[in-house]
Amino acid sequence: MIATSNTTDDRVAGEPDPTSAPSTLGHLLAHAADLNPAGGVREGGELTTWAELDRRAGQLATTLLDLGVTAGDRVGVHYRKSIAGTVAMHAAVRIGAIAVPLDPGAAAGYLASVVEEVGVSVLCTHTPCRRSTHALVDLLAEANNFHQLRSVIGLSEPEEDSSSAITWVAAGQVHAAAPTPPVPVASDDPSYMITTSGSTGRPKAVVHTHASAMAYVERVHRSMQLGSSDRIADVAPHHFDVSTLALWNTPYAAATAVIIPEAYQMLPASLSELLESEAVTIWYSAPFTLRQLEMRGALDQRDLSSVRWALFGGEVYPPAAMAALMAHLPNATLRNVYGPCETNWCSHYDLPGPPTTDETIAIGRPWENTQLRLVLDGKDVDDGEQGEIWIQSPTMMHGYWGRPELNAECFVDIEGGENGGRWYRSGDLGRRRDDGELVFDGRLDHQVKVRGHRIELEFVEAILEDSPAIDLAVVAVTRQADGSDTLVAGVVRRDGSEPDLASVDDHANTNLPAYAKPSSYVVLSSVPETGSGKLDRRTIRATIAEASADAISATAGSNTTSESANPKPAPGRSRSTSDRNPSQQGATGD
Amino acid sequence: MTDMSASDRSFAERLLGFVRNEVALDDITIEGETDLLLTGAVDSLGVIRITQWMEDEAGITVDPADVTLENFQTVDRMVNYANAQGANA
Repeated sequence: MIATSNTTDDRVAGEPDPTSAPSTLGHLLAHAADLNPAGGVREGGELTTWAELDRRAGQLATTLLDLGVTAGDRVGVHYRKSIAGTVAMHAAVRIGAIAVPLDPGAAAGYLASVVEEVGVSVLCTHTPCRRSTHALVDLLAEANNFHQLRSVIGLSEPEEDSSSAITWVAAGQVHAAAPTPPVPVASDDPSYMITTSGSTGRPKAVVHTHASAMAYVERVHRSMQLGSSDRIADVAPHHFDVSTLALWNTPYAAATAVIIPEAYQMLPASLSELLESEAVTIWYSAPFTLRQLEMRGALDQRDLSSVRWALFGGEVYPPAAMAALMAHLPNATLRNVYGPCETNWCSHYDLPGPPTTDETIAIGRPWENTQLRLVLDGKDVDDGEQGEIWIQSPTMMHGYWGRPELNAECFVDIEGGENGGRWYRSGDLGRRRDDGELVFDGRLDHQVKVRGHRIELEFVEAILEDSPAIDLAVVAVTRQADGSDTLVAGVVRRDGSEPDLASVDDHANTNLPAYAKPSSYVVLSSVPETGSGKLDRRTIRATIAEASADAISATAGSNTTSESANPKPAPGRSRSTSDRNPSQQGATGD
Repeated sequence: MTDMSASDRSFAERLLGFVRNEVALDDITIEGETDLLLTGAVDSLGVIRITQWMEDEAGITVDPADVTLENFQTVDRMVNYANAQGANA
């Protein structure tokens, strides 16, 4: 069956006037400056107006043009959560370049793989990312590949150059430039990319166009009735697709964004203080951050009545924990959002009240002009049956950058008829409940979500197996006592000798994004094979996950926040790495 | 780190050692006054582990409402906070 949303009922939001609203991302800042001179982006209690942001984006755009950046070039955006990062995203799309936000917490090896995958030619950054930028540049130079990175913009002064191929442009030079106005772009020109781990150890980059981005922005705007009085928490890092709501929708609505630096996400009691003092009205994050806010945010001492929308998506929010959160957000609608970064948000479910059962919170129904099918063996399934979620929507990506084989796998083009057009096969499994709401039912493949981050287990395994210390790695997700998930790696050497786990962990630190690093390691005593002689990863994963879960329930006791419970799994000898090994307990994240 | 008694110093040094060796994600040199949070040297899991360590080692109870930038931005601030809570040294 096909679920088609109705297309009219939420088209009542008054501002901005659709006839004057920009149709490409590059014009958003000027549009916001026209509509609301008092709005802008707040950081550290200070407002930077839309007019000032427009000017700064124009100056950075000029610098990019001076460095030879032209339409379609890939511009790396490497910042911690900051106005500077927001400006860089807008600057890139302003001149028709493609913004490639990078994970500021990622290891240099992973950053280098992204930079090479999409051919980043200019990197915009700032001082807080100085070390990581130098590590990246050094690694690229060492690798001696034909990487395309030519220039780095934004460090406080020209750097001593380890790689003569790089031009360093100081931040001061950017501020001296005359601003460039937005250049015209075609709506089907690429605008930004979200990179995600592939299944082979090679990252893949989801390319969105100006049209797919704006289609998303318009739907969010109408669906949430955003207006210039809204204060939108800008909490997610730009390499995480959840961030686009604050990034693009705030200027579209001529509202005000409030930057939430990473430190506040680590300190829920400070975060809740900030949300109260900034009178935030809109929140959107992975469930993890909301859950931390509820558990450790001292919410009984805060007034969060300004919040009118609290959105979460990317993974499952524990239903039993929802009531406590809702009690502290008296005026908020809690909305569970579904949509892979390839298609953006495509369905949602507004909680009518605290869940009364432990049934997974629904992902709801598709929004306007979006079709979802549940497909098994090429046919739509009946209600209640499980099928793969196929999506058709104007918010869908253009495709993966430079990966025709992946595009051929994930897109299905159907000619004519009721199901005509291009469909994205999500790899997600869904089911329709009796009441018509969709429920997320897991994955077809080995992709998992950990604290909102999408991780392919094969990707982590492939990276770990590059370490000379081991021959084989199998990675499993385990559920911790507080309900959040973490990765555990089972490793083995073919000769049966004891692997040097510290060295494997060092290798992981260098080559994996922080969110994809295993929190502990288990030495496998045996490696089962399938009937056809292939490694039976499924069985091994189940064993690791089960053993870790047992270890957690045995040690966590009744206090879910205090005991450290390094797993003591049974499949073989296990140990955690000697240093920098996060405990099983608690959680990290963004 | 200033004006600390001998026993304070030992607590402060042990906390610094724990943060340097067990918690810090990056290779930056961490001193008592190093900003651990805005530099990304410690992530949210690290903060949770530090509070657990303080509870275990200093015998205090860390109220979640106290886990703020003011109290946890640097090792020095953590030591001051723990002392104010009556930490055993």
